[in-house]
Amino acid sequence: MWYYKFRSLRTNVGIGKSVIFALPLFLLFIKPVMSQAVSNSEYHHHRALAGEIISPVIRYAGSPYLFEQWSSGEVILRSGAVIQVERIRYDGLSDVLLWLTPDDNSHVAVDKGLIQGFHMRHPQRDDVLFFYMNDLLEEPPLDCEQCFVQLLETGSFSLYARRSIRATSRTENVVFGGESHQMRLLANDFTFYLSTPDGNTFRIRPDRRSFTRVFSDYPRETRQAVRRIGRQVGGESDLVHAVRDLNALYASDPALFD
Amino acid sequence: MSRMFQTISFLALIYLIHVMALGALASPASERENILLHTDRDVYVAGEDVFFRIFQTNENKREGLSARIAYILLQTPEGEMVEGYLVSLDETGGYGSIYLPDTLSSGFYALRAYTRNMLNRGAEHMAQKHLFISNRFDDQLDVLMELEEQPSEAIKAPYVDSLLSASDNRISPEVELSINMDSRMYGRREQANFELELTMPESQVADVTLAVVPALSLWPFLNPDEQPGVIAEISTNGLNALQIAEETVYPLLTGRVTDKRDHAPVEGVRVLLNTLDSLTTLTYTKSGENGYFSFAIDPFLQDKTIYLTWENPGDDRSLDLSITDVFEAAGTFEAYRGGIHPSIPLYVRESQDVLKVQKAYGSVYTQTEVQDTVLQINPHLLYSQPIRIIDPSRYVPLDDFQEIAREIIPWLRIRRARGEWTMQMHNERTAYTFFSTPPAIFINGLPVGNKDTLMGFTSEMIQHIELQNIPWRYGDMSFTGILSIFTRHNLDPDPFLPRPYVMVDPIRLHPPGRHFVPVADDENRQANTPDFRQLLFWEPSVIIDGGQKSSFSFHTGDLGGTYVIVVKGMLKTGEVFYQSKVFDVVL
Repeated sequence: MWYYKFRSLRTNVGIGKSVIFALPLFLLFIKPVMSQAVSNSEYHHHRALAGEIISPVIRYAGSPYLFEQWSSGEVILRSGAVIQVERIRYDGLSDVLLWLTPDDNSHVAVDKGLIQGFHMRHPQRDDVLFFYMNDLLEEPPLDCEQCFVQLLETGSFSLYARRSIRATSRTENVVFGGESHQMRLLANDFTFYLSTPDGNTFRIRPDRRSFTRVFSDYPRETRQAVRRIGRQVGGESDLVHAVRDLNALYASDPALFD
Repeated sequence: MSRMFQTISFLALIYLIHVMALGALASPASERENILLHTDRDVYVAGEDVFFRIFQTNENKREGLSARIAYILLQTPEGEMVEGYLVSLDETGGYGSIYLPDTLSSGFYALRAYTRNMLNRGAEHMAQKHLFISNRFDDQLDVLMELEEQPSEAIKAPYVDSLLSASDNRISPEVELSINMDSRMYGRREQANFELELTMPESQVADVTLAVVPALSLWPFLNPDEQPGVIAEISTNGLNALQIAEETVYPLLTGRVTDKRDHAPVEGVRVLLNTLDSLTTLTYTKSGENGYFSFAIDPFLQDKTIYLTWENPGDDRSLDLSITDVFEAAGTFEAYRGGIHPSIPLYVRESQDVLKVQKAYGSVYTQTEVQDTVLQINPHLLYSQPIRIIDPSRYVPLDDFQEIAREIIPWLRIRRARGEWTMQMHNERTAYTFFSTPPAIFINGLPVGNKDTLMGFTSEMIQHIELQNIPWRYGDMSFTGILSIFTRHNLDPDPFLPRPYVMVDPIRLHPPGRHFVPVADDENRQANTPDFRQLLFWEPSVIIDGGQKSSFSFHTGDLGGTYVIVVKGMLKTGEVFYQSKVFDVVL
């Protein structure tokens, strides 16, 4: 298509030869300038992603990854520097961020001690997932030192998810290397945590009852308001919406949650 | 003919687009900053401090000023650098003080200030201020005596008169500045109050530097035009114009990799930066087009000796690495050669005596400003936690590193073949497999080229050994294990560093110095210690909004004479103004 357009330009427009001659010249001139302009912005932070080069092995039936597909994103180093990466994925079984290196396609388990977290594009939706190291959060929702926690909603009330994948006692036959192997089956073990303005964190399930139970000690008026918000909670996305509504309610009447 | 005209027109258009792109990408308007340099006085005695203020401006009315580092250097007319410092800037500029070494010989010197970006425009566009500095033991003052003998037409009028005649206090059609004092005359150690009244639109903001100094310490003829230089376009003359990057956050360490044989630039060479440390850290970059490379010297790297090594290109080329000397480009200047008023040498001699008294009494009027912001230091760690840490002190003393490896580091295999030491590290993730290629070795955070030094290490010399015996990735670098040794005592790294290497002196930001004035209480007034301050008051940065009055006070010392309140400032719109007020101190 591009060739066709080029041909038509050449035959129909008088300056066709000039274009052929001048375009490479133009590109030649502009390239060093552009490369310099880009590199200037990279000077401000030292940035290098580090981790162990691993060889993935099949030990279980099912996928240990939150998403099987690699997706693009950015990794935030402890220095605050942000590294754009083309291919990352989260391994929920080992709780590691995997980076597929662009030059030799090595799998690198990113050193968790050197990063604050990562932002990963959802491979199926137009959405970005925000994962942070639990111990670096202002009010760590989990009781673990170096584990990733996903931030689903932030505000006076914050909602977190731990995207664990665990090996169940059930087994399945997996065929690889021409042989069938009986292996333990992997299953999602997602847990959700709601942190409240008073600094408490509650483990909740994405259902109405669990959501409203967090506020069982509050006055009747508060419980009623929460019940109205939590009426529709029947899954993860409903829970996120409910926490968003909770934040709006808190912003309009903070005394309700004293 | 018409066709040729079209072709030429089109090529001209292409060139125009290129030039525009060059301007837009390499030097947007916000980057074309300029500097106005101001000092408390024009004449000093070696052993005193020069207080300076850097006003940052640009052709865009001070909007979007992004340079955060300035270089200030004191130099001789021949271009020899006496002192050179890095000064931290904010969006308006910076300030500080420079101590003049006691050994300086009497003569004219230049203080120059510039940003890295200004280096692209050449020495003539740097801010410059000429000063006269006398050695306090130079009784002859030959430099001044020669000037005094100049023909009478060259003799400058006494500067007090010229200051008094500057009665017009209008800065621009819409801005007016008045200095109102509570008296025209003050006694010894008496408090003086003055008020700055800036009449200007409320939308204006004035950034002001204030000084109160002896009138004889101002030599206007040395710097007849203290305006910032004309803001020049960045030269597009070749690629040299683009080599020096902008310092918008941290100072930069820049350099170039070239082929030793023909000095041709070499692209894509990985340059490694290490510092002596108790952690295993690594910073690297690659030389770009034209061989240039750059490192941001963040708080972790500041104040440390830096060692640069580079990877072999893998062919028969031998590489050379040079570091950009940002103080080198300052150039020479022509010292003042006109006549001087006979009162000048007398004043300089008096200043020498004043400083001798100050030194005798240990009077210090400079304080380093304590920074209220805590710098976040993030080491450039190669790994956060090693797989294994070995403490040799927990074992029986061993005589060399080969024995140490054999006895207490089973994950490390050391052999000597054909006069060369070879090392292999066990892959922790396997049962018995050793990596086929050697590990990276560090001693006290520095890379090891020559293993002989390491092999001579005894148990007593080693504090601990870190082993990262797994396949490791760091950016685009891969390691088949990392061995990092930390010694109990400091070690000269020269014998073990890879050859060749470049050592760079610590890069540090000059701490801002503030003028310190003793408290003017009754006790101080009665004190026997002489108060021989020449600089009675120095406030480097005061922001005054439109329609606002600002009050200041200071107290006089034990030196009588005519003094001047000097107000130098810059409006938000980039206009420079200067105003002064003369008063007397009668003892």
